[in-house]
Amino acid sequence: MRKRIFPTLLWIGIPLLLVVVVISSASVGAADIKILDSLRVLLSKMPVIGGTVDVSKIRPNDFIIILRIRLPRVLLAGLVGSGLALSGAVLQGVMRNPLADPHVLGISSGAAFGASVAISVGLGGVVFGMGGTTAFAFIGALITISIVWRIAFRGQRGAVVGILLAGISVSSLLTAAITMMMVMRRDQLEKVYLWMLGSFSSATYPKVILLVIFLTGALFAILPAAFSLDILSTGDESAESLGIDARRLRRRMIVISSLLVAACVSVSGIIGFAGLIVPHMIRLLSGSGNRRLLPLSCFAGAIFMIVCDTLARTIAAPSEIPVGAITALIGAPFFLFLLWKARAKGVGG
Amino acid sequence: MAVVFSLCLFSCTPATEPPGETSPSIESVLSAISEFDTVRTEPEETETSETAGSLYPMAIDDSYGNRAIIEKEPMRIVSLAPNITELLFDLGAGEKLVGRTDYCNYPESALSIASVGSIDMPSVETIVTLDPDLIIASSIFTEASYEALTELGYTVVVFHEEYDMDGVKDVIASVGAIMDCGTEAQSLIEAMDQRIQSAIEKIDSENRPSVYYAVSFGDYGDYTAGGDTYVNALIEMAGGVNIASDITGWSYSVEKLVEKDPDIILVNEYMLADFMALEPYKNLSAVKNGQVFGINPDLIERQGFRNAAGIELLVSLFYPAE
Repeated sequence: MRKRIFPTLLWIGIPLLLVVVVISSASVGAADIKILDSLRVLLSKMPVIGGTVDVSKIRPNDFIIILRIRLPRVLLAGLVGSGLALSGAVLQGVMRNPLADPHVLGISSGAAFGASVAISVGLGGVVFGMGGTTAFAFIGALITISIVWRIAFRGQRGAVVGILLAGISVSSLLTAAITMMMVMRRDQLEKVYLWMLGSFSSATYPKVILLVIFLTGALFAILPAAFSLDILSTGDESAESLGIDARRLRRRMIVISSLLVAACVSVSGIIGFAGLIVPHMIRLLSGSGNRRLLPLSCFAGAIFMIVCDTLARTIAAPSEIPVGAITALIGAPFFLFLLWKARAKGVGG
Repeated sequence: MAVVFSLCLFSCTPATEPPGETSPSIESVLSAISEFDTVRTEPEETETSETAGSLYPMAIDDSYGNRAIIEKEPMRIVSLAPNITELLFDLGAGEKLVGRTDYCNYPESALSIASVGSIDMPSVETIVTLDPDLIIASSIFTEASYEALTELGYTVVVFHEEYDMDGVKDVIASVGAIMDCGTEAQSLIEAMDQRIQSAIEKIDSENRPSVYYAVSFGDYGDYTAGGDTYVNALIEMAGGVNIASDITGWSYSVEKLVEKDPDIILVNEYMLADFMALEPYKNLSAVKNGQVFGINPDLIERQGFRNAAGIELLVSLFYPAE
C-alpha cells in the first residue's frame, strides 16, 4: 500500500503555503524595508481592505521597490516554477520516464541560442515591456519546437525514444552553436553565460502577464486530460484498447508543454531541477494520479521557485546568486531525504 | 562550458623560431643589470640616465615582479591592452606599434594596425609573424599567455597597477622609460595633473551629488562599480558620492538602486534610451529629472591619459556650470 497523506490536507495546505510564501517573499529583499511596512504596502493594494491600511509614513520609493520590483519578481518566479513543474510532471507521465524534465526536448537550448544571438549582436530595444533577449529567446524556442516536432513526429513515428533523441540531438547542436558564438564574441561571453544560468532579476509585469497567459492556456489544455494521461501511463497498447489515441495525446501534451517551457525559459533563462524534482516530491506525498499530481505540482513548483529565488537574492545581498544554483542545492538534498524516508517505510522508489 | 574552455586552451605552436632573436649571453645580462638601476616609477631617474649615455640595455621589473631585459630601443611593439595602445600613441610611439588586440580601438589610427586577437588569449602565431621585439600587456593578461610568449624568447612586460590614479601615472612613467620617451611621459603626467586639478576646483564639497554608474542593467543583471574599483575612485575624485561604494566588486541589486535613488546616473551612451524606457528604472528620480547621462565608458573604465577627460566630463555633469 502506498503511503498517502490525507488529500484534503494537501489541497488546502499547499495553496495556503503558496499565499504565505508569496507575501513573505515580497516583504524581504536587498533594500532596507521593515517587514511590517512591506505588508502594509501589499495590503494597501488589495481591493476591499486596501483603504483601511495606513501607508502615510512609507517612502514612495519603497512602494516602487515592493510593487514594481519584488512583487513582479515573486509572481514571475512562482509562475515559472509552476510552469516548469507542470511540464515536468506531464513529460514524465507521457514519456513514462521519471528522469524526463522540461529541458530534455531541446527547447531550452533553442531559447538560449536565441538569447545569445540577441546578446552577441548587442540587441537592445524594449518590446512590449520586455527586452530584445526575451523576444529572441522565445523565437529561438519556437523554431526549435517546430524542428524537433518535425523530426520526432514525422509519419507514423511518435514513439518516446524518437522524441527524446530528436530533442537531445537538436539540443547538442544548439549548444555547440552557442559555444561558438560565445568564443567569437568573447566580450559578451559573461553576459550569455549569466543569462543561461537563469535569473528573475529583470522581472516585469509584462513578463508576468505572458506567463499567466501561457500557464492558464496550458492548464486548460492539460488538466481535462489528466485521467487519460493516467491511462496512457499503463502503456500505449493498453491505452489504445481503452479508446485513447496514444500518439495524438502524447503529441498534444508535448507541444503544449513545449510552449509553456518556451515561455518560462525565455523570461528567466535555464533553471534546472524544478521541473524534474517537484513532481517527484508530490508523487512521494500523494501518489502518481495525475488529477492530483498536476495541480499540486503547479502549486509546489511555485513555492519551490519562489523560495529559491528569495534565497538567491537575499543570502548575499546586494549581490545575487544564480537561482539555478539554489534550486539544485535545496532540491537535491530535500528530494534525497524524501526518497530515503519513503524507502525506509518499504515503499518502492 | 567545458567545450568553450578546451577550445580556448588549444595552444598554437609556431612553425619557426622568431628570426633575429638571439639569447643574450649571461655576462652581458649581468653587466647590464649592475650598470643600471631598475627603472620604473620616478621619471627623474630616466632623465639622468639619458644624459649618461644610452638607456639600453635596460632592466625593468614589471608588475608581477618579473625582470625583463630590453636590449635596445623597441622598434616593433605588440600591445596586448587597449590602455597600453592608447598610451603608446600618446607618447608619440604609435608608428612603432605592429600589433594590437581586438579591443584597442583608440585612437582611430590604431585600427589600421594588425590585430592579434583577444586580450587573454592572443594568437601567438600572429604575434610571431609580426616579429616584435617587445610585448607589453596589462590587466586580464593570463599566466598561460605569458609563459607561451616568454618561452618563445619574447620580451614581455606586464604593467598592471591601475586601482588608483597614482598607479596609472606609474604605468605611464614605466612605459615612457622603456620607450625612451621619458620627457613625453612626464609631460603627459603633468598635463593629466593639471587638467584634473582645474576640473576639481569646480567641486562643491558641501553639495556632492549621489551617483550610480550602471555597467549593465535589466536582462543582463545589475552591475556597478563597487568601492574597490577604479571607476569608484574616479567618481569620488570628481566630487560624486558613489551609492555603491559600500560593496566590493560589481554585482548589485536593482532594489538597492531604487532605494538609494541617486541624484545622477551614468550609463553607457548606447544603452541610454533603453535604460530610460525600462521598468523599474524609469521610476527613478534621476530619470524623471533628466539627470541620466550617457557616457563613453572607455573614458573612465580604461585607465590612462583619457581619464583626465573622463574626470572633466564627470565634473561637468556633477557640477554643471550655471
